[in-house]
Parts: sequence; C-alpha cells; structure tokens
Amino acid sequence: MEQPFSSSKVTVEYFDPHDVFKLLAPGLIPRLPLRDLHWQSHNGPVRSIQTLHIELVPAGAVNATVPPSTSPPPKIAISPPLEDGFQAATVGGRSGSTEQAESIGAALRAPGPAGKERRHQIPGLRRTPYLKVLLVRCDDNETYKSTTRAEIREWIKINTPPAQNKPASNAENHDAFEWLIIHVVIPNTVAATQPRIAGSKAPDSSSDATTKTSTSRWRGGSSTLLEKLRNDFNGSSKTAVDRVRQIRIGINDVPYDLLPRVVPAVPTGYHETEQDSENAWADTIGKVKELILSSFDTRVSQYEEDIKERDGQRALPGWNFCTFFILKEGLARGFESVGLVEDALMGYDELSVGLDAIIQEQAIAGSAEAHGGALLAYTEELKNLAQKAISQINRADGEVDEEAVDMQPNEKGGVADFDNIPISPSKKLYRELILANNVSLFDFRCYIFARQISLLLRLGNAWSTREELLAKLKEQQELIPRGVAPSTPMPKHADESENLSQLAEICRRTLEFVPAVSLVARKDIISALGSAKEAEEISNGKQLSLDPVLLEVTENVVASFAFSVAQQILAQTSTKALPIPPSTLAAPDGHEPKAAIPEPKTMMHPARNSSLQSRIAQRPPPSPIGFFPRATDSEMANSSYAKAGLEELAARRAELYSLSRNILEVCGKKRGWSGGWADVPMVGESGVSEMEDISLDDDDSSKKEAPSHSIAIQASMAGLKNELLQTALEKKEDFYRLYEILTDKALRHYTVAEHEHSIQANMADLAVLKFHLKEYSDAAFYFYRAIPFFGESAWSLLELSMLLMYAQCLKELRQMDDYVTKALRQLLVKAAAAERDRVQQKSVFRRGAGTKTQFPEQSAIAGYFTDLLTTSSALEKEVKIPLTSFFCDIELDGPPVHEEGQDSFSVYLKLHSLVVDEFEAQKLSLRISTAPVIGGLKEIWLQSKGPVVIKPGRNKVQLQSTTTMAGSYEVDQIRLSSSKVLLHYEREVGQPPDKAMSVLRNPRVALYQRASSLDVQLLGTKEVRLDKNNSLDLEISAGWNSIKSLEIKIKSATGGLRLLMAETLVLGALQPAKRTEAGSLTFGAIPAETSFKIRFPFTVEHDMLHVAVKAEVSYSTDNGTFSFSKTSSVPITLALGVNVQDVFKHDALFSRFTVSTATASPLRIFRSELLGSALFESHFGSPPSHPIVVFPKQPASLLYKIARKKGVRPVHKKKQTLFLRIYYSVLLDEIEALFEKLLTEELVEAGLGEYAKVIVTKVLAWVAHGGGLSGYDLEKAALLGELPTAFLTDVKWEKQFPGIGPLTADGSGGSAESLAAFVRGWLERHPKLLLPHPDLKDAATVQPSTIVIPVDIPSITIVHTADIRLQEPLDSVTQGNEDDDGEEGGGYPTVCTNQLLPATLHLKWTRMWDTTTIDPSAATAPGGGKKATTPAPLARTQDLEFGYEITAPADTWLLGGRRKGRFIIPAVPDLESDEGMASTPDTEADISLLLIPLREGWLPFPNVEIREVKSSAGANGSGETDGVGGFMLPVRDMDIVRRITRTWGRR
Amino acid sequence: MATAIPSIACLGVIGRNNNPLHISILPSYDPSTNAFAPVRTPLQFSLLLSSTLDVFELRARHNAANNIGLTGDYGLLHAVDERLASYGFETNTGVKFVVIVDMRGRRIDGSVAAGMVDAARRGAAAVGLREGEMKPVFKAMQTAYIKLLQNPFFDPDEHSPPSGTGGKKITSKKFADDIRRIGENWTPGVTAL
Repeated sequence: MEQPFSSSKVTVEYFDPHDVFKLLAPGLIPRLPLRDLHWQSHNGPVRSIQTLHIELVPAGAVNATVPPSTSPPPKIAISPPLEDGFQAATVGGRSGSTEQAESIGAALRAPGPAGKERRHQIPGLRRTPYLKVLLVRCDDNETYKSTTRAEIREWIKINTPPAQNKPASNAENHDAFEWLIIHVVIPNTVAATQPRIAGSKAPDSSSDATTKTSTSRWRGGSSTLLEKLRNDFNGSSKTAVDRVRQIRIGINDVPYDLLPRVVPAVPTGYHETEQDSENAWADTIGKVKELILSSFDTRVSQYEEDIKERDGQRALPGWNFCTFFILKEGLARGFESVGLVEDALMGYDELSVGLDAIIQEQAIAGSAEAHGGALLAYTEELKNLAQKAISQINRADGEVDEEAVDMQPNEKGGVADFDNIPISPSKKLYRELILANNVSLFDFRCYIFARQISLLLRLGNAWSTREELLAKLKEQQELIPRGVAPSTPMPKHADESENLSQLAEICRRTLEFVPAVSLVARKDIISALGSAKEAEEISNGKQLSLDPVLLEVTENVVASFAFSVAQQILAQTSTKALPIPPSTLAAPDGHEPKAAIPEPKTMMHPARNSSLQSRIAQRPPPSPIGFFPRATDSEMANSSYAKAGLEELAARRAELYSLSRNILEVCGKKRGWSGGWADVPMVGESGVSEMEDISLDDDDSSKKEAPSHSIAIQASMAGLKNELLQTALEKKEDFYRLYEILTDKALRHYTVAEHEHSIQANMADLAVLKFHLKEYSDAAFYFYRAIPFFGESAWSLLELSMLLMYAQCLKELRQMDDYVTKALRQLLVKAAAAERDRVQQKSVFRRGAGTKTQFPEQSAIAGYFTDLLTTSSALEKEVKIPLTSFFCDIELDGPPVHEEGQDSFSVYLKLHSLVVDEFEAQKLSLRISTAPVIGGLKEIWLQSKGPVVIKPGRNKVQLQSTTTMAGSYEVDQIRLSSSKVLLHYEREVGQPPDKAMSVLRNPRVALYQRASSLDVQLLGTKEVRLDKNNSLDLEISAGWNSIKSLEIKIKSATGGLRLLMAETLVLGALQPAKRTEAGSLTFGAIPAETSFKIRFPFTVEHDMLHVAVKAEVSYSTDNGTFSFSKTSSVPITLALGVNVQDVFKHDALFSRFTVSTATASPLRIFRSELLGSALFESHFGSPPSHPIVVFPKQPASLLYKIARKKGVRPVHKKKQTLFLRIYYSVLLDEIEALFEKLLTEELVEAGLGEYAKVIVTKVLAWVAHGGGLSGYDLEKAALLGELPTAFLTDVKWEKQFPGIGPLTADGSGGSAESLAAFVRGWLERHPKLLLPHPDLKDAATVQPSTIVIPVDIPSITIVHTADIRLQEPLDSVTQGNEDDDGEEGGGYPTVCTNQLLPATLHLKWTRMWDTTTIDPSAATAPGGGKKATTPAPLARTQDLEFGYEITAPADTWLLGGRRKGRFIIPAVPDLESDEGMASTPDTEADISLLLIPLREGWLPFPNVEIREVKSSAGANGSGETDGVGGFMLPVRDMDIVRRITRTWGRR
Repeated sequence: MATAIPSIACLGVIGRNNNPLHISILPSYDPSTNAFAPVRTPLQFSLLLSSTLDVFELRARHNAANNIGLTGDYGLLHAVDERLASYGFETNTGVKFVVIVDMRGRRIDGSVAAGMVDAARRGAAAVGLREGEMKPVFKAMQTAYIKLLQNPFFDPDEHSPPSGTGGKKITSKKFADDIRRIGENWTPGVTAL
C-alpha cells in the first residue's frame, strides 16, 4: 500500500539487534534531514542537494530477535515491499475518501512481496536501501570478542555484496548500497570509559583521516573497542572505506531502566565532552552522506549505461518503448530520490517527447506493432465509464430513481478514477501496467504528466508537498521515546516560500496537457466502444456520424476529465502567496443562491480550507456601487512585485479557471444554458446567420440523424464524473452559479496578473451573464466598466452589442438619465459609426458584392433612436450630441438659390443619416457666418420650413433664410433638434476642411444681391462743404418688393464715426412714419421700384479714408418679413487739395489757390468761384474755356484778387469768410461710372440683369482696387481720352463669382461660368472705352462734384508799405554794350559802383486788413493761420509805435542817411469811420537816404525792417513785432531780389 | 473510426494599437448535427482574441528583455478549453496574428482530398498540436498581410493610427479571401499554404 508522501527520500535500513535505536534516535532525528550534499555527476556540474530526507527503516524490526541470518531481511509493514524503491508522491490526495478508496483498490491489486523475481528483468524497479546501518551495542571488550564480533561478521556476510573488490553485476549495481557500523556506546559501560582512540586520551579533535591511519598503526595493541571494530571490519586494503563510527549516548539521554546500574570497569578518567559528542555526530552524519552519495553514484552510472545501451537498440525490431521507459524512469526516480528534482523532471520531459515521437512514428508507419511496441487501444476505465453512461442513457428515461441509485455505487467503486483527483501517479499501478505492456496511451500520458506535476510541485515547494514532508519528519520525531528530552533542539523548519514560477509552470503544462489528453481520451473511448462495423462504414464515407449516444457520452467523459484536471491543478497550485482580491460577486442581495450550490472548493478539496476558502468565507460585506477594488488592486500589485512569478502564476491560474469555465460552458450549451453570449440580443453577423443551432432546445430540426435519441442525450449527465460539474449541470441555477464563480475567479486572478485585456474579457463575460440572468444592476456595472475598454481599441463589434445590452439594463433599471446619456447615446453613436464604416466600405467596394461584412445588423438597433427621442423628452436637460455622430456626408448641395419675387434664398443641405430609424426633426438650422473681419461678424441663420423627416440614408433638406447680406460665408453651425435631443455641428470659420471628415468639404457660401431686390446704397454726397459736417446719403430702393412697412436702422460701422441721426433728412416725398433717436426709421408702405434717400451728417474723430455704415432693413411684404443688412463704406477723403497763398497789398489782397489732386487719379476742374463775403469781394480773371485737367504732379493755380468792400465794417467773423467753390470731377469716378453704365446696359440685353450688381461690383473692384489701373494709366487715359480694357482680361473671372447659381430652382439664369463668359465677351467688344470729354457747357449734365472751401482772410493789424525810391532818374547806361547777359538791358536804370544814389524811403501804412471784430470769439482767424497778437480793440484804440531800420550787407551797399528811426501810428479815433484807417500823406514818412553800391551786379535794395516798439511794457518787444514784421519780411526779400529793376520794391 | 482532426476556427489580425483589423471565423464540424458551424459566436471569438493580447504583451516584454528579435512566433497563447487553443505571432511592426484552432474541427471522410489523408492521419495521431504546426499559417498570413501592404491604396496609418488608439478594420476583400483560404486549407502537417 502506497503512502502519499513525497518521493524525495532515501531509504536507510538499520539493523538493530541490540535495540539501541531508541537511544540513538533522540540524537539522530533532529539532525535529519541531511543537508548540503554535493554530488559530482559524470557529465555535469556538481549538483547540490539542499536537503535529503532519509527514511529510516529497521531491518527485521519486527523480529528483532531473529538472528540476522535471515536473508533477505524482511521488511516491516510501514515500508511495504513494493517494487518501488522510491515512494511516489500522491500530492494533494489526502482527502479521507480518496485514501480509503485507494487503499482498498491498492490492496486488491497489490501484487505482494514479489519483487525478487523481477529483479533481473526490470532494473530500476527496486526499492532498496542506499545504506545499511548496523547498530552495535558492545559494552566491553570481552563481549566484543565473545559475541559481538561474530554477530557483526555474520551481518556483513549477509548484507554486503559478495566482494567489494569484484566488479558488481549490472543488476546489483542498480541496487548498490553501502553499509555502516555504528557503535552505540551506552553510558556506565566499559566502552563508555574508553577514549575513542587509545593513546590519545585527551579529547581530541583529530579528523577521521588521521584516526583511520592511527587505527591501523595501533593494530594489535591494547586498543579501544572502536579501534577493534575498525581493525576488524574496515578491510585491509588502503583504499578501503572507513565504515565504523561510534556514538556515545549521554547519560541523561538514556532512560533510567536501560541504564546499566554497575560500572563494570575502572574509570579511565576519560570523559566525553559536549564537543566530542558533537564532533562524533557530525562525523557520523558526514559519513552517512558520503556513503549514500557513493551508492547513489554507483546506481546512476549503471542506469545511464543501461539507458545508453537500450537507446542504441531502438532501431532493432522488438524494441519496446515501455521497457525503455521504465528504465529511464528509474534514473529519473533515482535523481528524485536524492532531491535532484530538476534532473528528474528533465528525464520525464524527455520521456514525454519520446512517447510522442513513438506514437507519431507508429501513426506514419500505420501499424502499431511495428515499432516500439503497441499500446492499448483504449483504457479499461474509460471504457467502463462510457459503457455505464451509455447504458444509463439507454435506460428508460422514466427510471430516474434507479439511475440515481446506480450511480452512487459507481462513484464509490472503481469507476471513481476520474472523479476528483484524476492526475496522480499512484492512482493506478501505472508502472506495472507499463511494464506489462498493458497500458493505453491515455494512461501513459496521465502517468507522465502526473509525475511531471509532482516533481514540479516539489520544485515549487508547494505547500502540499512540503507539508507532507514536514509531516513525515514530525512523524519521525515523534518516534523519539517520550520522557527523554531531546538532546538537540528541534530544527526550525523555516517556512520556505513557494516558488511561484514553478507553480506557474505547472499550470502552463496543464494548459497544454488538457487539450492534448482530451483528444487522446476521446479517441480512446471511441475506439473502445465504436464498433468495427461502424468504423468501416465511416471510413467508406457511408455513415458520417457516430452514434449520438456514444458521442454524447464521450463528450461528457472528456469534459468531465478535463474539468477535473483543471480543478485538481488549481487546488494544487493554490498558495497563500498569491493574493487574490475579494470577490466582486457579492451582489447586495446575493446570498440565497450561494446556499444552493456549495462552494466548489469545499466540495472538492477540503484541504484547501486554509487558503482560499477562508478568504471567501471572510469576504467583507459588499460595498455599494463602485465597489470594485481598484485601489486595492494597485496596492496589491505594488506589494506583489516582490514575488517573482506571482503575476505569471496568477495568469496561469486564471487561464485554468477560464478553461474550466469554458468546459462548463460547452456542457451547459448542450442543455441550452449559455453564458449569455449565445443569445446576446440582436447582434448577429450578417454573413453567419446559421447560428440558430446553438440552442439545442429545438434540436428536432438540427439532429436529423438521431431524432430518437436527441432528447435523452441532451439532458444526459452520463459520464460526468466530476462532482462539481455534475452538480452544476443538474440545475440551471447551479450552472450559472458555477459559471459565475469560475469567471469571477479568473477575473480576480487576471487582476493580480494585470492582464488588462483578459480582465476586460472576463468582465464582459460576467456582464453578459448577469444580463442573461436579468440581474441588471450588476450587469450594468460590469458593462459600464468593460465597454469603454473595448471601445477604445476599436473592438466595435463587442462594444456595440454590449452597449445594446447596457442600454437595456439601464432601461430596466429605470435610470433614464443614464439610459439616454450614457447607453443609448453611445450605442447609437457607435452604431452610426459602424454604419458609416459600412457606407464607406461600400463606396470602396462598389464592384465586390456580397463581402462578408461584420457589421451589426441594422435591425438590431432599430427603434433605439426613436426610443432616445421619446425618452429624452422626459428629461430636464437637453441632450447634446454631435451631429457627425449620426450623419455623414454632410454637404451643401449647390450654391444658394434665390427665390423669384422675394428677397429670400435657400440652401440645400445633403445629409446621410446613419440612424436606422426614420425620425422627425423639429428644426434643422444652419448658420453661415463670415470671418470676423471689419464690420463685425455677420451671421445668417437658415432654417428648414417646419419639421423635417429624416430618413435613413441620404436626405436633402432645404434651408431658407429671408435675410440677405451679400458676402462670402462659411457654414459654421448646423443644428438639428428633435424633442430634447440636439444634434449639433460646429466648426470655426476659416478652419481648413478636414479631409478625413466627410462633413462639409466645401463650407463656403457666397451670397449676392440680385439687381431687383431691395437694396441700400451708401453714397458720399457730391457737395462737400468743409465748413460743415459732411453727410452721407443712403439710397434705399425697394426693388421688386411692394413693401408694407419698413424699418431701417443705420449704424456706424467704423470706429470713430459718429452719425448725427438727429439731423437725418429724408429726401423725397416719402417721409418716415416714426423715427427714433437710435437711428432707426420706420416707414409705411413703399411701392415697388421706388427709391428714396436718407441723408445724414456725420463726424469723425480722426481722419480716415473710408467710413462704413451698416444699414439693417427689416421689411414686410405680402410674402412675409424679410431682413436685409448691408455694410457699405464710402471714401470720405477729399479728391483734391487746395493751398492758398496770400499777398497783402495796401489796398488789395492777392490769393493764389493751388489745386492739387489728393489721389493718383487726375481731376477735371470745370470751374471755380470765390464767393464774396460781406466784407470782401473777389475778382477773377477770365475763366478757361475748357475744363482744366489737374494731374498729380501738376497742380492748378487759381489767382483771385480780393478787395475790401467800401464802407463795410467788420462786424462778424462769419461774414468775412469767403468760400471757394470748385466744380470738379475725378477721372476714376468717371471711368467707373462708364463701366457701370456700359456693363449694366449689356447685361440687361443679355438677360443677366439680375446679376448686374454682382458683376459691376466685381469689375469695378478690379478697376479701382485690384491694381488694374495705375496712376500712369489714369494719366494716360486723361490725356488720350480713352481707356484700354486689356488689363481686365487677365483676371480669372470664373473665380470671381463663387456661389452664383441659377436664379431660380428651375435652373434659369446663369452660373459663374456664364457670367465670366459674359465679362470676357464684353471685354472683347470693348477693347477701349472712350472717355467722355465734358465741355464747360456740359457741366450741368456731367453733374460734377463740388467742394466748398471756406477761405478766411487773415486779420492783420497794420500793413506797412516801405518804398525806396531813387530820387533821380537813372540813366540807362547799358546800351547793349555793357550788358553781360545779353539781355535787352534797354531801359533798365543802371548805376555805377560807388555812385552816390540819393533816395527816399517812403513809409505808408494801413489798418484796412485789420478785420478783427469786437467779438472775442473771432480772435482766432481760422483760415489764415496768422495770429493777431494784439487784441483788436486794444490795437485799434492805441497809438502804436514802430521803429524802422535799414540794413544792407556791408559789401553791397554803403548807406547814408537816417538808417534807424521811430514813428507812431495814431490810434483810430472812431471805430465806425474810415478815418485813421490808413495813412494819409500827413502820417506817411519820407526819409532821405544815400545809397552807394559797392559792387557790380544785380543788387537788391537794402532791407527795411519795421518793428513795433513796445513803449509801455517793453519787456518782450520781439514777440510783439512778429505779427507785422514777421509777415512782411520774407515776401519783401523775395520780391526785391526778383524785381530789382522791374518793379520797385514796394510794401 | 471517424477521426476528428484539428482545423482553424478563427483567424484574427490585430493591429498595433490592439485593435482588430480582421477576424475570420470558420465553421467547425459538429458531429451531433453533422454540419459545419462556428463553435462560438463572433463576439466570443472577439473576446478570445482580445484576451490573447495580454499574452502577446507578456511575451513581447519577455523577448525584449532577452534581446530576442521583434518578430516572433509566440506559440500557444491560451488553451481556451479542451477543444480550442489560440496560437500567436507578432510581426516586427506590432501586427499580431492569432489562430484559434479547433482540435476537432474537421473530420476525415470521403470529401477530404486524397492528398490530405496522409497528413490528416498524421495530425490525428499526433498528440496535441506541435508549435511548429502553426508556422505555415502564420507565414501565409504574413504573406497575405504584406500583399495588402503593397497595395498603394492601403494606408496602414488609417488602420493603426500613430496616435495609439483605435483604427479601422481592413476592408480589403482580397485580404479577407486570402485569410479565409488559409483558414480553410490548413490541416495539421500542411507545410505551405
């Protein structure tokens, strides 16, 4: 009978004739197991054996008194004489029932102690001690001589190999062993008083080696017992091994009753110290190790030799794999027994591969017997099992009771093989079977696998193995006689941690083993039961199906077996080192189902109570939603990194759980219980519609072959031998319960392993299961966690169907908010996305029809959108969803369409709806807006007329707007609202269209005004008055609208522009019905085709070139209400610039106006007039007969003489101002007008009149601003009177008219192309435009612009006139001879140098130009820029004193006379009269001068400088004189220089 | 004796971003109905494929640590149950091929081509599948994928965007046909597909 303990043991047999083992044991046992053995193998490195357990077997303990002559020594019951030298492990199989069952079975099969005869046949089957120990008690030399020596001799003779020197036979070497004599010395005996070695009485620490030699040297002398022993038994040769050891038992260790009372010998004084005994023990143990290794070495060498030999014979006929196997296994076992587990494992691995190879070879050869020996075709147990199951099925269905009764004994009986511990090397007598060539492949594989697993378990230091070893050890230790205190403390067995990677390796192997062995098992059963006839038929292709009953049974048996294996390995690899997070299964109310099915582990492996079970039992109370321990996960993960292989083990275990789960699932599927996936609602594959056979409930149709059996089969439990599986499959609830537990366990293990994908997959499994079981809140939770994961990495198929279920969950749970926002929304979005893919794919594969697309069927999602809409209406908040989620291919269809007869336009929007359902959108609107540039953002909303029905697929919706704003727009918003759901799409204006997106590839919309629509035009007035606020004209033309009412709002669209709306003037008959301050005017009915102007002044804060005004018109006609908005800008810069230069004379003022162009364009001045004022009158010469053309570099001068009217007092400043009015036209304007006129005329002729505005605007834009006409061009045009149009031909006209489409929906009218063609044609017809040559008489027709410039006459207090006159008339001496210049010098007075020229300086003055008035506000003259520094009344009512000074350059003139002097101008006595206003001869001064010119040439007269002399407060004289003198001096200088001889210097 | 031999139940191509590129599901022989039907629902196959990604990751990490080449046959990834097992292969661009083998997805009968019988018998005899058995499948799949990549209209970035998430499925009909053909033609022992 086999003992389920580890195989890592070496048997050491002891023969204890004197019953001293019990004395020895207290010292020996604690020193076991042996540690740190080092074995040098023949072909490898030194192997270290950490610990080697020793099994001490007494030889002939039962009949201790029997003289040792009995041969061979019978073995006692504890170590049954099985053929197995190494006790195999039965790991984990310690459950009582199993043991019992096996003991029975084993007892029945036990072949009895018949190992002897097989000895030579099958080497490696021997279970023999590695070491035989003889325990000798010999108290004194006499005893030794008389009896003991003989006894020992006898023992040696029996037990040792015949001769140490002679080479042992193979068979013997297989059992090679060593022997050792231990002399146990009892205290109080003679032996105890002897020192170990004679002559060295001191407690020596001499080594064994010296002892050995000294022993031989002292041979024959008076020696101690030990020496005697050594002499007698160690052999004589030098190479002989020392085989004698002495152990002295301390006096305290000997039970009192055993202690010899009398000390028979004289004490020698020798005393054994603690140290000595320690040494002795160490020495002994060392010897034991040495000897064990030595015998091990012998055995290994022998085995290896044998294997080599057998392997070499492989090719020979008759070679049997089984024999080879046993041989090789022997070696492996040998390795194992000394703890070299890796080597052992390697051996088994090689065997496994070898088996595969053999089978493969046999398969190829076609004959089993051909090579390597045949294996059994089937396994008896499997066959029995299957047969029973079949008969069970075939019995009447009604006999349930009988069936149940029958099954019980079966399970208890021999059929229990596959029950719970399917994999165990000791389950059957595998080795015997193999040896007898009586093994099936299935058994063979199982055995190898079992052995591998057990070895791995040892390697992994699995708790099961370890505990067995410890238990054994303990057992040994308990053998120590009670009452005797152990001399050495029990060695501490450190809880060595398990090697998790080895455990993982076990799982990995299992994962490979299970599918493989399942296959084998299937074949096995089928070949066992499938009749030969059937097979024949099948091979002939006649019958394609097996007997369904057999099939069913096979399935069951195999599934059960696989399941059991998985469960067993799971149990064996469970470890406390693997922290598994608490179950998430604990639903708040999930207690009751648990009672229904016991915890699987409890049922199967009671031993596991310690680890996992307790955990489950102590599961913390489930927390509410969100209870999944994410945080704990990470904590655990952190802490667990320390453990190598932890993750792998967790992953493998999880896989095993998954495996079990899957097996269960397959079994359940037959019963129509699925994990939920099979009937995931509504999602199927378009291509795979034949899925209905999954549910076998309606198998009448599917099982055509065996309709009679079908019902019996599907419910059949027959062949399911795994209790757990059986329980689970008995009831649906239990099935789901187990399914859930297994999934959950897998999930938790994966969590530890951090296998994210698998976690999610299990999560999904759980979710689907829960959903299937209608536990919606749990399901929702799992869905919630799993869905995003799959969504992220584009597993859309999974995501979609899960979303569908999620949605249902939420619906069931009445979480409407979540239902709508989370589930439905996502679901639909994803569905739409899938649909989009489909659409796109379709577009890719136009030709390839019938591809198997893996997209959800449309019907699956049908109704959900409507559901979304209806549910959302109950929600408080609006549900916003991006439009692109449900629609693709959103495009504008064509340019905007203008409607005939009214000012509205519409745009067609194409949408491809991805929603399966047809639904009604309450409103569909679209916003177009311009890029935010000058004039602010312009937006227009276009809306559908009423609700729109959106069908799946393509839709075209008309969106209309009654707002007209010409311009270029981009669509930036689309909104579709239906109940509370708002689908929206937004984009940035100017954002480049995304190519990947199928939305609005061309978002641009260009709106233009039709010629006959209502229009507002902003015009600058043609009359510009610089002295008043200018005004702007807004011309409103009703177009074709008969307006019932109209409201216009005028706003400034330029910063700094202020419109003075209060002064608005409406020109025309129509007057506003109401006007408000804010610039809005309301009008009543306006008939069609009328127009009126609104004129309003404006001011600007700073100079600007253009001003823009926005006019918003809303008006209603019979067709409804429309709005119109236009921002237009006009230039407000003056087209011309005027400079004035004033020359004051005594009684007249000459003003020269220089008119220059302000732009590059030439001007045409028709005429000008200076309007006199109350004080002044103007005179002009004869006007030119033709309009003057002013070029930019060629200003025109207009000279006016201004005289003061007689008898008019300066009363008011305003009255004095003159106004210069110039009638002019700008050439560019003329050209533009010409273009417009010609274009419009021809457009109307061509029937494109409606486009006139667009075309004219575009053309003019090119003419004026597009760089078409340069200043040079204009100049040329002005000179030549004609303008070539060639500069416009290069323009790409097609691009100038974006968004222009047919006028009406029926397509009449033109497109951009036709307009461009027209423009081109026009340009061809008009290569040159003749500019009109307006005559003066045409001025009225041309309607030139006018500008009125106020001209102020600067006020000057006093104008002095200084006149130097030569007294004598000078002769003209230049009669042609002395005139250098060749000029006609005749008549010019000429003087000589150094000639005395008497002259008179005549000083005149006048106050006439003092136009200051009393009005202090007029103190500043606006026009002239000169300041009357002295307040007018003061200046006039005071005497003013002036000083004059005549200066001349010293090298030019020599001056004589009074060069400086003063004079006083009297105050005006009466302001009202002319008296005193000008000098009279009385008040004029004549001053004689003498001038002597000093050099030749044209000499200017000397300068006369007149300054005001400040008499009263003369502090700042210079400042005061500026006004008078400063003004005059420069003029005078110039004049004198120029006219020195023509005119006399005046002033 | 009716012998069931392994056949391919599902072929999956998974992109660099762990997104499915292509999934072909092949029917397996169902002895009880004597018909061919997929053993799992497409969703379950999807889940199975998804679960293998962990193993890919693990092996890739392991390979990187041991300085083994980027392209790799990863062998058995999962034993799903006693019938299904998944095998994996990863290209150096991170595209993964997964083969889910049904251990008894096909049966030998008269309809099997004569040339296949020998191979099939061998396959049937073999205890389990050797790792090497999958090599031709992966080779063929890779060839098919390379053919797909050579199509200038195929934009790999579209299917595995560099952004790291998502990606579209492969819509090439030719590729799908190739994969399907591979799945249908494979039997154990076939050396070239």
